[in-house]
Amino acid sequence: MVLGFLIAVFLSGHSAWAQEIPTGRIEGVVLERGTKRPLSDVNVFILPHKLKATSDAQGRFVFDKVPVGDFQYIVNLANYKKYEAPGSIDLSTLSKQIRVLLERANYQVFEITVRDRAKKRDDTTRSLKAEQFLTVPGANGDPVKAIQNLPGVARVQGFSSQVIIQGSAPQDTVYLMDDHDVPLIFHFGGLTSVITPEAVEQVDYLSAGYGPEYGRAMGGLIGLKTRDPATDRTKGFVFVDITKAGGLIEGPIDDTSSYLVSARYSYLGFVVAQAVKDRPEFNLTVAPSFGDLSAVYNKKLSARDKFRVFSILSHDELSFVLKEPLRGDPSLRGNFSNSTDFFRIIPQWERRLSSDEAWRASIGVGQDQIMFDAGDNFFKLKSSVATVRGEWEKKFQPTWTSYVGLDARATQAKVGLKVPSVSSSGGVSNPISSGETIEVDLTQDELVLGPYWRNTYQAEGSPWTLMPSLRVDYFNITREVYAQPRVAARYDQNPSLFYRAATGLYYQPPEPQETSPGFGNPDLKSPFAVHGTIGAEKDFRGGSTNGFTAQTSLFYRLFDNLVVASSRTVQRNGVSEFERYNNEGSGRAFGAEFLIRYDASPWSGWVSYTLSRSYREEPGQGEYLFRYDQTHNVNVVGAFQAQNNWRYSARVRYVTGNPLTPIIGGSFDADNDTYVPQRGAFYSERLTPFFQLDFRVDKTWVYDDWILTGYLDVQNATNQKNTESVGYSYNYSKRQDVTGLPLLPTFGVRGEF
Amino acid sequence: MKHVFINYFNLFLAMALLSTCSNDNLPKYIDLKELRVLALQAGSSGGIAEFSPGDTVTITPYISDYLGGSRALTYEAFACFDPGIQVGVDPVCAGVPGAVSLGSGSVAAPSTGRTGSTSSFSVSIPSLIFANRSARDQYNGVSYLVTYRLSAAGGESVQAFKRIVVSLPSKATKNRNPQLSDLLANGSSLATFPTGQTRLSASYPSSSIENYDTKKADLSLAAATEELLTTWFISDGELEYFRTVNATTTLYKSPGSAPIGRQPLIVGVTRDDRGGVTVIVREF
Repeated sequence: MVLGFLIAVFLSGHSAWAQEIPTGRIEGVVLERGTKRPLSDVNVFILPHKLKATSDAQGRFVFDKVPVGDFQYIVNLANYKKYEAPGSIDLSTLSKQIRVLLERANYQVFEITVRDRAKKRDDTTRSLKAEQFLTVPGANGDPVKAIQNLPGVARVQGFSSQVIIQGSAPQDTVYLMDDHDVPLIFHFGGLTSVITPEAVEQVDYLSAGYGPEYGRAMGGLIGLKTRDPATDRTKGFVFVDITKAGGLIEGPIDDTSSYLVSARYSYLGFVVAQAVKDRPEFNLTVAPSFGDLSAVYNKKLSARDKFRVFSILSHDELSFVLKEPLRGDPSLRGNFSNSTDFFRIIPQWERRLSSDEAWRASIGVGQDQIMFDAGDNFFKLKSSVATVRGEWEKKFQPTWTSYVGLDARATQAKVGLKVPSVSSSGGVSNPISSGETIEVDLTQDELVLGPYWRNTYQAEGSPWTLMPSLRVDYFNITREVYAQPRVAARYDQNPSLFYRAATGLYYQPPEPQETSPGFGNPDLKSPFAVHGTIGAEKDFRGGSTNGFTAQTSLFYRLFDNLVVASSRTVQRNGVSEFERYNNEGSGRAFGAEFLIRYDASPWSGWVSYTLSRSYREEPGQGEYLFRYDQTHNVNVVGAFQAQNNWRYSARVRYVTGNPLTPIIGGSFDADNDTYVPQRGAFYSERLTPFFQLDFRVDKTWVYDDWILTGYLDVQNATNQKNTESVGYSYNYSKRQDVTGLPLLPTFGVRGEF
Repeated sequence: MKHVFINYFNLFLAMALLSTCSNDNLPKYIDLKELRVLALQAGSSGGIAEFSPGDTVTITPYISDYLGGSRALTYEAFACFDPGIQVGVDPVCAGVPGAVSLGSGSVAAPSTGRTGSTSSFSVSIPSLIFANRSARDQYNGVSYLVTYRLSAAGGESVQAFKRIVVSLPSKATKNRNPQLSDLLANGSSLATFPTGQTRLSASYPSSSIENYDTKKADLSLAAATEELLTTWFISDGELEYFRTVNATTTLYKSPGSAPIGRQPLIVGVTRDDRGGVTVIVREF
């Protein structure tokens, strides 16, 4: 019976072949649905004919002989939804072209193809990648704001977004883009970063014990690394949210080069205008607005040479009229306007001479322009800036790699100003009206040079890696040269656990206004810090990508030669004048940091906790808690990737309240119709602890040729009334708490193509 | 430097927004409720307000104790070289070398609602005040500080200070206190307590707004013109703005009914931003 069946099947088939059923040709391409990204090495089946074709690098596939009639396409690919679609071919059209669109099981909030990630030289570096910072609740997709969720970074109050690292001051943090200084990292002091976040590949945060490539920062660095443009296809997006709109486009130019351009412009002014329209004393003449444009050009010159240009342009503007002089500061009245512009063009060239040797060089050129008019006062700055980085890397022996480089900056600034000198100490500023008006025109040439030499030494088979290095900084303004030894060590106990330690010396030139003749002290020296840190990192994932990782570290910083305000009188050029600043400040900061990350789809998140203390000391005050001291700083961030491209995330923060200098009275300045505060002991009080819950929902809708993403980000979801500062009556005799932002929802949409 | 001035601008912006948008329950600047000093005038109204080394200067305090009843008031005044208020030093003469007492004792409360000028006192400008001071400072003026503490029976007290501007005797034109000729209600003299909504303004003779010059750091001269800034104080009602510049107006809304058992007050204090000041008190 079985034999009979087989014979029947054979005869049936033979009969079909004998009839020579006509066949057709089907050409197709396998693309990812929404992004249109070609998918290679994908097997496409035609059933029931049991035909198979495999896509090439461009996603193309061909079936040469498909029997005429109906059939079904089947594609099964890991991480993609199963593709099943009916197909047919008939006698009239024996050739056919089709598109196979595969939908991923889950889509990221923004699709970025990342290649050639920068190697992490410093074990102290912490990074957030685009897919992480774009979706952190409460950060509105901003890379620098997202950094504030990592250990060691203090929470800042209210509107500001400064990054304050491990008990340092805000001005001790340097901001870099592609390793070059930029004058601003935020529009309007903290609203949003000056670059489209999706143009950034990752943001790095370097804290205690960072390496010799960087300097002039006692606190640490925030470095934004822009990403390489897409080379497989042209793509981009446009977006709209409640304060701004913009877009990004990128793609290949030819086989060796590609481009990326992004731009944003804000209509924040409309929002603010609505907020102040019922305030008759406040007349907004030019609504606050900002815009930025960034571009990347990437060119592979040869197998060994890579050329790249990053450029950025930023503009902020605001004008208004105060119909009534400011209540606590009557000298501030009339017309106010501010515009801030800068651009940088940063060509970068990297040549790999061999597997053991490479060099890289980059130059940043640009201009900064700041115009500020406030009634009768003004400040105008125009500066031309050139920053230079060069590095030669050589592996002299299998155990020893050396890096020799230069980090330099030259600035020529022309400044014209007429402003009252604002006295501020203990975090309490005197009224501007009480200050002495200073009017000067000056040209200032600044040159800073920072050659460095880094070494990495690891004996064969040894668990120890030693990284001794030296940086030398020259500051022309203070006429100083400082050698700054730094050393780091790492002990790999096993592939999943290592210990690290680092120490070093870090000099930072005084702020320009602190040394300027007329309103500073030209005899100031550079303050410095000694860093020390030890830590450990453990990877619990056992070689997979799912699971826990943990980091912990202890840090200690010693500050000296800190610049503090001085009311002493000194003789300069035979004339008695106030010293204004001197180097008699000092301080220390220490603490412990913990970071636990978890990543196992659909859950991900991290917990960071910092326990720290930061003190400062200056003549007449003794040692006091530093203004930005936060004993406990806890951030819990969690995300859940749900079905159908829904993503839910939340952040909880608890932070000890910042120290506060109480004002214990005021004296009436009868000349200026204002009150001068009388300070109590510096930072002898604290604000109440800060608690906030933020949550965010992202939803992605995937269409054949584009993707629509919407988000809702709710800050302070519990409408917690956190005290951000203390307000006083006109004569400082009474006070009341000033609370921060209430529940604040924001939303936006983005269309990717 | 750019960072600092960006911060400066942001500081100002934040202050402006907070100031204009605040809705606090704290005492208001314009309310004449608490014991306070309204002005310290050096010289007389319309008279010289910028002095020379060795001059003797009369200081007239303008005070308010509107709700103080019949309580006794006392004062205490000192003079000294400016210890550095502009660089953050507290404006007190205690501990400053060369500080002198200018007097102390009881103060007669002004008759117009316990608000107005009170007992004046004199201060002698040290002849060596220009020692080691730059030519620019000597031309623009060096400060000689006067501190004044006003206390009421029961413990309430307020502290005020004034910088007497001392410049070269040879300076051709010295600053004068503004001449505030009248307070106006809807353009007419404010003679009766306004009812409903009234536009208040200050009236000056045109000569009261002076032209002057200052020496810049490079010793070149910069010309400027005064703006007269009037601060309004009221015992009752509401004000749209509590400061006006030159002849601009502010809207006054009178209370629904006149106060009982006391006379309402409206006070204008005009300053020229250079140390000159003049005060007019209207009691109704």
